Amino acid sequence: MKKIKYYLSRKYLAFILVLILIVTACSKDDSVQQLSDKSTAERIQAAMSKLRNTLLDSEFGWFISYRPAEETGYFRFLFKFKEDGTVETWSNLDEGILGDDAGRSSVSEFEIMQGSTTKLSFTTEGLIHRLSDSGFSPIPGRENGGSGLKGDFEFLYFGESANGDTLTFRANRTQPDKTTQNVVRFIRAGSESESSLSVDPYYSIRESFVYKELTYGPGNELVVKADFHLRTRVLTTRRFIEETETFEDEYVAAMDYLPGNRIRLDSLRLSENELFKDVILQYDPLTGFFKSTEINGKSDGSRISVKTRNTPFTFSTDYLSVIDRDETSDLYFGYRDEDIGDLTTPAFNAIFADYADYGVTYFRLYTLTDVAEEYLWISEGAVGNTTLRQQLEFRVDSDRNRLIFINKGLVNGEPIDPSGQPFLDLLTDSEGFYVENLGRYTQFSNDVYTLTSVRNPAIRIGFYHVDP
Amino acid sequence: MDNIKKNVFVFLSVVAIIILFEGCDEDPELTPGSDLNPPPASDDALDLWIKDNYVDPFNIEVVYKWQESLVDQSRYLFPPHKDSVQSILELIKAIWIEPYNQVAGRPFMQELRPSQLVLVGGINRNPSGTNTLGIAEQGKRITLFNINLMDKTNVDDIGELMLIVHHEYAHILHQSKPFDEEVWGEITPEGYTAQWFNEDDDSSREEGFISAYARSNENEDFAEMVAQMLTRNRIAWNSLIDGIWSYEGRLDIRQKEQLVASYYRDEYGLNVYELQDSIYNVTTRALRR
Repeated sequence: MKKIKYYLSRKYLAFILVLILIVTACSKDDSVQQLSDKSTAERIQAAMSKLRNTLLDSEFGWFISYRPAEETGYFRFLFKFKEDGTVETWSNLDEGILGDDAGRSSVSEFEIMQGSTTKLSFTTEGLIHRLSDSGFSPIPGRENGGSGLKGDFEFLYFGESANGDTLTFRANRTQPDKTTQNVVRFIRAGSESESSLSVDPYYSIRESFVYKELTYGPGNELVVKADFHLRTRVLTTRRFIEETETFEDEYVAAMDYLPGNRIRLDSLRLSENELFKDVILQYDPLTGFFKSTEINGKSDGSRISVKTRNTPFTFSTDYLSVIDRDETSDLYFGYRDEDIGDLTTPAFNAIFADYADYGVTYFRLYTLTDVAEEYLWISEGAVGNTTLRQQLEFRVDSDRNRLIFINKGLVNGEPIDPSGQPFLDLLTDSEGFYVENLGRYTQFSNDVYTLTSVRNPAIRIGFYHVDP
Repeated sequence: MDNIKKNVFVFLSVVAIIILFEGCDEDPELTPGSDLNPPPASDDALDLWIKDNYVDPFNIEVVYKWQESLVDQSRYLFPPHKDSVQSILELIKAIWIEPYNQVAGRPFMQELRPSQLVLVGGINRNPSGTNTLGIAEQGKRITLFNINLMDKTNVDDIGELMLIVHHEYAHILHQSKPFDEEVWGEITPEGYTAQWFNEDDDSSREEGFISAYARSNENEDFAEMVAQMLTRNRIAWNSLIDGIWSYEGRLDIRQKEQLVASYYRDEYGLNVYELQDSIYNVTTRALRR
C-alpha cells in the first residue's frame, strides 16, 4: 500500500509540475518588451512597400556610381522607377561596352522582394545587366573569362540617410575573393544628374597616342608607365627600374568619368609613401594631356600629369613570337570586332573605313609555310566573293624591336580596290610596327596581339591569334 | 487501485479538454486573415499570353523574370530582354510542343512536360571556354540560355534553338523513363571524353558519335542523337549518316538510332520517324511565316 501511495504521489507531483510549466508558458509576460506589434510577414511587407515608395518618390530618379569589382573602375547609372514596375535607365557605359547602343536608355522591369534583406532586383534586361555579361570579359586573367565586369543587378537594402537622399545597398552577389559585398549608394538625383553621365574622357583617351606616362612633382621628377584600360575603366601605373630594365608591380587606380572631360581616380599610389586619394584629372585638348586639378578635395597645382609618348617604355620582344611560325602563324583582324574592337584605335578605323565600306571587313596576316620570312595578307569581303592575296615580306629592326612589312605584290588574287590603298600604305610603312602580345584578353582562349604604328602611335590594330 | 487510476485518467482528460478549448479561443491580438501577401494576377500582355499558351494548356510555368534561386550563382548571367521573350516562346511552341501534340496527342505533353521553362538572356560561359546552351533538371525544369541573342528570323538561330529544345526535352523524357544506358554504353565505350570540346562534329561521326558534344557521356549522347534526328527530315538524316566515311562509325550511329526508335516506341508508344516528319513540316511552316 505504501508503495502504491508512493507511486501515485510521484505521478501527481510530475503532472502538477507539467501543468504549472504549461500555464506559466502561456501566461503573458509583461516584463518582455514588444519590439513590434506586427507579425514578421507584415513587417517584411511594410519594408518592401516603404522602399518601393521611396524609389518611386524621387522626381528625377536615383543615381549610382557603381564599382562592381576590385579590377574595375566606376560605372554610372541613373534610374527612374515607375509605378507600373518599369524602370528607365541611363548610363555612362561607352561604345566599347555597348557598341551601337551607347548613349541610349533602356526600359526594363524591377521588383522589390525579400532576400537576406529587402532586395531591389532588376528582373528583366536593361543597361545595368551589361556589367554581368559573361560574353564580355575584359578583366585580364584566364580565370576571369566569362565573368563580365563582375557586376550585379540585385541590391540588398540596408537603410537610408537622415534626410532620405541616400539609400545604402549592398550588391547581392559576393565576389569569390571577398567576404563582403560591394556597397552601392543610391543618391537622390537632381534635374542636372543626367549630364553627369559623361563619356567624354573615354573619347579623349581613345583619340590620343597609345603610349602614355604619368609624371609627378614640380619638375616632373617621377615618371612611371601609365596605361588606360578603357573597358575595365582603370588606370594602371608601373615604375620602371632602369638598372634591371624591369617594372615594379602595377598599381590599379579605379577611374570614374566626370563631366567636363575629367576623371576621378579614387586612389593612386606612386611609391610606398605616396598614396593619393580622390585625384581629379582634367583633360587639356591642346596638349592631349590629363593634369590634376584636385587631390583629396584640395586644389592642386598640376602635380600629376598623364602624358602621351611617342614610343613604348621598353621595346617589347613580342615581335619574336609573331615571326616564329611555330608560335604564331596566323593573326586575324575583324573590323569593329565586339571583343577587341577597343584595342583598334579610331585612327586606324578611319584609314580602314572606306575599305570596309567597299566590303572588306576582315583580313588575316599569316606566314607562308615554306618561306619563313614572308607574310601573306589575305583580305576577304562581300565584294563578289573577292579574295585578295597581298604578299608581304617582313624585316626586323632589332634595335627598336620593330616589324616592317614590304609589299611584294599580289598572289593569285584580284588587285586591291583603290579604297584599300591607304590601308596597304600603312601596312607597308617603312617605319613599321611595335608588337605586343596581351595574352588572353577576352572570353575566348585566343591570345590577342597588337601592332602599333611607329610613325603614328595613335594607330593601333588588334588581332586574334588563330594558329598554331 | 483501479478506482484511483480511473480517477486520475478522468482528471487528466478534463484538464486536457480545458486546454484544448482554451487554445481554440479567438485571440483579439492576432491579425485576421493570412499574413501571406501574394501579388495579384498579372494583367501584363506577355504574362497573359504565357498563361493562354503555356500555363493553362500544359501547366508549364515560364520564368523570364530573374529568380536567383533558379540559376547558378557562380556564373555571370542575367535575365532576357522582355521584348525578346514572346517571339522565342512562339517559336519553341511551334517547333517542340505542336509536333508532339500532333503525333502523341495533347495528353502526352500535359503529362510529360517540364513544370518550369526558365529563360536566361545571357551566355552561360563554362571555364573551358565552351557555352552551356540549355539544362534539363530532374525531369522538371528546362533552362535555356542566350535568349537575347536568338534571332527568330535567322535560319541558323532557329536551327540551334531546335537542337537545344529537343536535346533538353530528350533529357526530360529519359529522366522520367530511363533508356538502357548499359546497352547504349557498349556501342562506343572508348569514345567518351571530358575534353569533348577539343573534338569536332565530323571526326566524331567517324567514331560513331553524332556530334562532338555527344562524346561527353551516355546521357548527352542519347539526347544529342534524339535532337539531331528530330531536327532533320528523313532524307537529310539518312544523307548525313550515309556520308560518314567510316563503316564502323555509320554502323554505331545506326545502332544508336535503333535504340532511340525502340525507346520512343516501347516507353511512350511513339514512332520517332513520324515525329521527325511532323517537326520538319511544322518547322518549314514556321520558317515561311
